[in-house]
Amino acid sequence: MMLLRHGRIDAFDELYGRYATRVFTWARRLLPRLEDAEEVVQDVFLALSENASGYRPVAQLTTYLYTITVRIAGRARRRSERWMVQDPDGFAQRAAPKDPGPGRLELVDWLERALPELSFPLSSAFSVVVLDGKEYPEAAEILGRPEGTVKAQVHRARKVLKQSLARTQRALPEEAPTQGGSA
Amino acid sequence: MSRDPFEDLLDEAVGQWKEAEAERRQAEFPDSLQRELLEEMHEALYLGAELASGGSDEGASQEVWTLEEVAQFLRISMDDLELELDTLPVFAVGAQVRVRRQALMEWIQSREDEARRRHELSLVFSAPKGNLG
Repeated sequence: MMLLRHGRIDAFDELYGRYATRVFTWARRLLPRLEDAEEVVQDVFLALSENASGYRPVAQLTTYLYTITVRIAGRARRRSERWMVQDPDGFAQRAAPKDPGPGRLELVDWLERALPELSFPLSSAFSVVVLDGKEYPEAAEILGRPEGTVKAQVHRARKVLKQSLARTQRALPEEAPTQGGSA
Repeated sequence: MSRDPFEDLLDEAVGQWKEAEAERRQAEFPDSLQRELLEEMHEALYLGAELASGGSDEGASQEVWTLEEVAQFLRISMDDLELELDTLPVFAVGAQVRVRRQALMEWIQSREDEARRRHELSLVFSAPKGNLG
C-alpha cells in the first residue's frame, strides 16, 4: 500500500492479485447481480489508487478495503434498486438464483437468494458479523455505524431470515425431503 | 422454553454457506475475468498517468508507433490489441500499420472518461473514518 502511494503500478497489481477475490466475495453477498459485484471490484481498486496518497496505516488493510467495499456496494445496491423499479422483470430475471430443484430446500441456494433481499443495512451487518465473524467493534468500524446499531441490525437480520426460512419451507411440497430435518 | 427450530436451520445454512462460498465465488470470478478487469483498470490508471506526464508534449505528440509498441505501452497482448483495431486511431503506410502517439492518447482519454463516468468515483468515495488524513 505504501508503494502504491508513490504511484507504483506494480504495487497496484499486487494488491489487486491479493485482494480482488475477497472484495468480490464481500460485494457479491450484498448484491443480487453478478455484474454489479464486478463493477464494485473495479470501483474499489480505482478508489484505492485515487486515494492512496491519503492512506494512513492506522487500520489493517483488509478492514480499510472492507470499509470501502461496503460503501461502494451500498451505492451499487441503491442504483440496482432504482433500476428494479424501472424494469422489475428484467431485474428479477438477471438476479434469479439457480433452481434448487423441486421439493428440496437447498440451504446454500436459499441463503444466496435471501441475503441480498434483506435491506442493505441488515445484509451488510449480517455479512460482516455472522458470515465473516468480525467482532462488533471492528464490524462497527467497517460499516461506519455505532456498535449498538450493528448488534440490533444483526438481530433483526436473523429474525427476517428465519421468517424467510419458515415461508420457504411452507412453500415446499409436503412429501418432498427437506434438509435440516425440521419440516 | 423450546428453541426456535429455524434458529438451528439458519445456523446450518450459514455453516453450509461458509463451506460452499469460496468455490462459488471462484466459479463466478475466474482468473480470466480478474485479468480482464485489471486490464481495464490499467487503461484508467497507468495510461492516465502517462497522459499527465507527457501526453501533451508537442514533440512527443508527433511520434509514430508500431502496433507492437502500442501493445507494449498498453501492457496487453497483440491478440487483445487486435480486438481494439476497429476503434484504435491507426493509419497505413504501405503494408504497415502505425499509430500516432497523440491520437492514441486521445483514444485513451476517451476510454478513461467513459470509465470514470461509469464508476462515478467522485460520488462514490468518501474517506473511511480513521484512515485518511
